[in-house]
Amino acid sequence: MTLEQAAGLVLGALDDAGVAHMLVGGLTSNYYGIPRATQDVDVVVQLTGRQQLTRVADSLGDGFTIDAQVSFETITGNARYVIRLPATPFVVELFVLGEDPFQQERFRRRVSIAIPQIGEHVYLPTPEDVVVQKIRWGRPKDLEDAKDVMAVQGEALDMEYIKVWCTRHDTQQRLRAILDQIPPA
Amino acid sequence: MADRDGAILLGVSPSESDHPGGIARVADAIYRDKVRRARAQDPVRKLLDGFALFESGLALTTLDVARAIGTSDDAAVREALHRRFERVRQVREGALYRAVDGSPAVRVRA
Repeated sequence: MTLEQAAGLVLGALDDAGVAHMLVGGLTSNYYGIPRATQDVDVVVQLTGRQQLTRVADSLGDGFTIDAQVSFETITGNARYVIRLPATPFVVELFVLGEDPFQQERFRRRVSIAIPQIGEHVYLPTPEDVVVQKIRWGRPKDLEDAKDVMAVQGEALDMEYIKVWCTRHDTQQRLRAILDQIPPA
Repeated sequence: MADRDGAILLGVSPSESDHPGGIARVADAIYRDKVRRARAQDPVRKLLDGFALFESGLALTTLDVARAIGTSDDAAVREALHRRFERVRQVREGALYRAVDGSPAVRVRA
């Protein structure tokens, strides 16, 4: 099984369980920015009950395992479930959509694209939301991703939207530092 | 010499790349080139490249792990490989995730 197929299986299992979803993380910054290796598929999920997760696990079947231990993102408090794939250190991480206003807005604005290797309806955040989220997390890799997305998308980005959220998150300095690092065309 | 040829291709003169500040100009030129290439690529292809690049890196890491533990036994290599990835994940995540009990979310198997 290829990693694309495994990702497609997980998204298909989410669809079967009636769980709305959105790809986030490295794959989405690849889509809007400069491609790099990623060792996981990150998916935001809108869970309405824990039984949906059980249905996802049942649908995935043997080989896939969901870690018993749940962890929480320290910034938003969102729960995270890790799905381990058979015979590879590659993992799929499910982040439960929480009440955080930005997370809600990002999910509401998600766009659907077709990726034949993964699925007919693969949902992604907008490029602006990728930038805002990456800057909010603020790890070196995230800031590099945000820079790449801003450099590649250029004037197509709605910078006002990005500035509004960075102000609300108090991350304007990070945004300014990244903009300063992008060489003029 | 290869660096100087590269500088010419990126529109930076070889003498410029030798001067103070020249390295930054070369780095900017390389970055602009990466951005140009990314803009020319199909976004779906770029997304899928994330998987392919992981697979390439995994093949090399597997060889390195086998060398490090001194065996090519599949089960042993797979176990050591998983440990290494968990360790990397733990470092990468830093304090971004916490487990329910307050301990770091990623546990490294002994």
